Amino acid sequence: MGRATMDEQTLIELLIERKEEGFRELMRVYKDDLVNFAYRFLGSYDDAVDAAQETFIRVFRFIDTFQQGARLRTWLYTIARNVALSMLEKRKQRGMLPLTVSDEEGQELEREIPDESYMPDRAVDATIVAQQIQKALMKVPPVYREAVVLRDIEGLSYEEIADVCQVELGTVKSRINRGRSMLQELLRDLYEELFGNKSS
Amino acid sequence: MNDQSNRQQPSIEELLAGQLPRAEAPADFEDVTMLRLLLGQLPRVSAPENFEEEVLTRLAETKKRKFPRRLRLPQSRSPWHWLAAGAGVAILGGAIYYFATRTTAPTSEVLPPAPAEQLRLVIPTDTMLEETIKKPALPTVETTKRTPDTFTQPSTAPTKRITPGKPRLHEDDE
Repeated sequence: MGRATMDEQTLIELLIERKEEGFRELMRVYKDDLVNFAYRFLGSYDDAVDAAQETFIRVFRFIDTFQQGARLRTWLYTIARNVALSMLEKRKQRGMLPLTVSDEEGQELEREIPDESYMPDRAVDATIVAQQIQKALMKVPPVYREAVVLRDIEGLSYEEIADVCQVELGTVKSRINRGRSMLQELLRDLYEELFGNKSS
Repeated sequence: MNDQSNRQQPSIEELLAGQLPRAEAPADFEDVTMLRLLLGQLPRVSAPENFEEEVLTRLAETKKRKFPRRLRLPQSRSPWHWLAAGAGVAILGGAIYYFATRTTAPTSEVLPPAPAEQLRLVIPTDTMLEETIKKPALPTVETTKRTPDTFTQPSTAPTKRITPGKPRLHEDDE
């Protein structure tokens, strides 16, 4: 997160007044976080930038609906998540093959299998390890992936994630645990390379 | 007194160490920790240099077109709309009727003729030529000449009755 030059309340007031100064400040503070979140969730840098831009546009258009007392950061991640999810949906319609899997809550979830032409942006993840982790992340179903990214990469609290994903706190915890387990399984070989012993 | 009570009762450290159960790390603790370490070490992605300018440009475009046409909600017509439309149609219809009747049938021809004209016999003009007129052959009747003096106008007065048996045709008869 960029260093804020004004307190959140002042920033919100500027945004409600549609002042460009406030809008620029909002982007300066949060743009990198949102691009990073979107990139780890979508796996494409261009899509991530597009999603972050769309997020700020929606903030500008719907700032009137922002509830006083809510946290701006949580609201931004909520919008970014919705934008990213709709982009995933569009991408799936373009050529990603869905497979259904069941989660621990008994719900049928669609699992993405990337086609061979789609590869995460290698320029961003310069190291082999980073590429492998991102590749593994993209194999985790979106509901678990977003929880893991928000918690372990973006550093949001469980309560914030519950607000962003609009689910119960218990659901957030179970999704994070399930997502981590999947990632561990997917990164088993990487673990052996990095740490030398086979993990359980 | 305080020293005695301290010796008899176990300290809080002893109590916590001996009585409370020990919590153990979950089985996958190391794996999860390493995973979180890996995820935390992933390089942070930054927005491009022109990020803000692109957002502002996109925002200006969005404001220009506001909402795509397909997203607009269908709006029901207000009663005023229908009233205005009805008045317009009526005026237009009236104008069309006026001009249509004016060009095809002048008012004088449309109006019914007066009763006297209606009964008048119209004779084609060519039949009025002298050659074409045939003088009817009137029967000639042998009549005695009557003078205007001898002719009496029939009257409705009861005193003057004309008796059929005594016609007064000539002055000499008197």
